[in-house]
Amino acid sequence: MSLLYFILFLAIMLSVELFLSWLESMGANFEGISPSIIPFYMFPDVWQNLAYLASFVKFFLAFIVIISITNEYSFRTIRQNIIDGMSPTEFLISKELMIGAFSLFNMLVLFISGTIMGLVYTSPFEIKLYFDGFEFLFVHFLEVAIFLNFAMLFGLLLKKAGFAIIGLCFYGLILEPGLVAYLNYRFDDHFLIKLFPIHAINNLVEFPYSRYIFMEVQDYVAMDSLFIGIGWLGLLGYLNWLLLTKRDV
Amino acid sequence: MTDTILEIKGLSKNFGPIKAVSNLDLTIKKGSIFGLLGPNGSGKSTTLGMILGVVKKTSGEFYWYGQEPTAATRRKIGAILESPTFFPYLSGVQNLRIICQIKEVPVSRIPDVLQQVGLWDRKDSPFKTYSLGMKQRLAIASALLADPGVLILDEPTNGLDPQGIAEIRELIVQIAESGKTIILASHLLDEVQKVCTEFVVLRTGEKIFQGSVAESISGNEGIELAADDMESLEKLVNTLPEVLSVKYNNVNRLEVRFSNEVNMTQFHQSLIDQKVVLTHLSYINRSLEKQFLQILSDQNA
Repeated sequence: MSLLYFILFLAIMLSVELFLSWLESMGANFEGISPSIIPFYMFPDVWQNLAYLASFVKFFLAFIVIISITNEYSFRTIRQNIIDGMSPTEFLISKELMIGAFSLFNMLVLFISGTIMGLVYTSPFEIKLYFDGFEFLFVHFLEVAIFLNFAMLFGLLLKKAGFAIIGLCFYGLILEPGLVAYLNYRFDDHFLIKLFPIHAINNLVEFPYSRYIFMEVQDYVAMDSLFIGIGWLGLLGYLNWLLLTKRDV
Repeated sequence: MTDTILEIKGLSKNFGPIKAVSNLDLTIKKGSIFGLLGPNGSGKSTTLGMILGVVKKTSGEFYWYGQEPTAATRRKIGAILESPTFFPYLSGVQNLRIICQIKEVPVSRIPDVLQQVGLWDRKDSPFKTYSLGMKQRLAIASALLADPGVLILDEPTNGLDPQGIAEIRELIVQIAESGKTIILASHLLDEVQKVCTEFVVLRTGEKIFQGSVAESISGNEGIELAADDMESLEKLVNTLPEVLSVKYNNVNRLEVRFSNEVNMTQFHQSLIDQKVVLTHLSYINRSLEKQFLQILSDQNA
C-alpha cells in the first residue's frame, strides 16, 4: 500500500515535463509560448511548483489515516488496548507519530524529486538557487500534518471509514469551498475566509503556475498563513485529544 | 496492607435520560470469585466498562487496590470485556506481543500463558483463523500476561459449545486455585453457581441482592419420587398432611414439596405400609436460578 503510494507520488512528481510536451504535441500554446519551455523544474521555482502539486496526493494519506483510526473502532482494538492499560493520550501519541512519519515521508519524496529534477533541468547550477525556496519543503510538511490531523478528527468523530471519508471529501471539496465562494461573493474578501481549515491549509503554498503567464505571483510563504496553519494544528490536536479522553470508547 | 481489591462507592452512569447504573456500592475482597449477575441490560457490562476506564462515569468513585484508577493500575488487571478483541490479521503471538508492550511485561511470559490455556500449537496462526473457543482462550491468555492479582471476565462462555464451556470453566477454576481474585459477569446462573463464591444481582442498574453462593444454595427444595405404580403413589402423597405441592416433572417423576422438615425414613416407611415401593428417591437441590428468579419477582412485587 505504502509502496504503491510512493510510486504514484514519484510518478506524478516526475511526469510534469511529459505532460507539458504532450500539451505541445496537441498544439496547445499560451499566448505564443510553447508549453515545453516553461521552466517547471528549475531551481528555485521547482520547490513551490512541486510542493503545490504534491499537496493533491495528501488525500490518499488522509484515507490511510482515517482507515487506521476507524479500524481501531470497528475491531474494538482501541477499547481492548485501553482496558489493557494504555491511556487515551498514549493512543493519540501513537497516531500522531504515524502522521508525523507520513508527513516526513512526503517531505522526503518532495526533496528527492525536486533535487533530481532540479539538477537535471537547471543550468548553470548554483548552490544559492538550490536552497532558495527550501522553506516550501517545511511548509509542505506542516500542510500534510494539519490535513492528516483534520482527517483524524473525522475518523474519531464518525468512527466508520466510509462515513469519515465521505465526510472529509464533502467538507473539503463541497461545503467549505461553497461557503468561501459565498462569503467572497457577499462580502468581497471576508476576513473569516482565511480561517477556514481547508482554505488555510491550501493557502500555505500559493498557486504558482500563473507566474509563467502573468509574471506576478506570491512566491513566498505568507506569515499570517503560517500562523493560521500552526494554530489549526494545535486546535485539531486538542480536539482529537478531547474526543479521545472525554468520550466513552 | 489492605485485602480489598476493588471498592466502588455510589457509582452511576447515565446514557442521556437512561440510568444504566445508579448509585452502586460494591467491595470485592482478595481471593474471592465474585459473580456479577443480572438479566441482559442490567448494567453489568457498563459497570465493568467504567471500572476499566472505557466508559466515563457520571458520578461516584472507585478504587483499585485502594488507589485512584489510572492506566498504570489497569496494567495490573487482566480483563476481557464482551467478545475477544485482537488484530485479526496478526497471529496469536504477535497479538500478545502488542499487549506485552502496553502492559510493560517481558515477552518471555508469552510461552507460559499460551501453554497454560493450551494454544501453544496454534501460536503462529492468524487470529481470524481461530475457533470461538480458541479466541476466548487467547483472550484469557492475554489477561494472564501481566500475572495480575485480579481477573475480570465478562460472559466468558458466551456462544461456546458445551465442550468449550466446560474447558473455559475448568480453566477459570484452575486460575482461581492459584490464588487470583476473579470477577465474573454472567447471565448464566448455572455458571455462577458452579464457579463463584460470592455474587451480587443487578437489575436496571441497581444492586438488589448480595450474598454468598454457598448460603444461597444450601438446603433443599423437596424431593423427587418414582414408583412402578405412579398413579397410586400420587394419590397417596396427596393425602399426606405435610405436603405442599405435587407435580410431574420432565422425566415423569413426582416432585414433592413439604411445608416443613420431614423425616425421610418415616416418610418412606409410611409409603411402604401403604404397599407403594419407591424405585427412586432423591433431594432436589436448591439452585441459584430459582433464588435469582425469586429475588427478581420479589422486587417486582
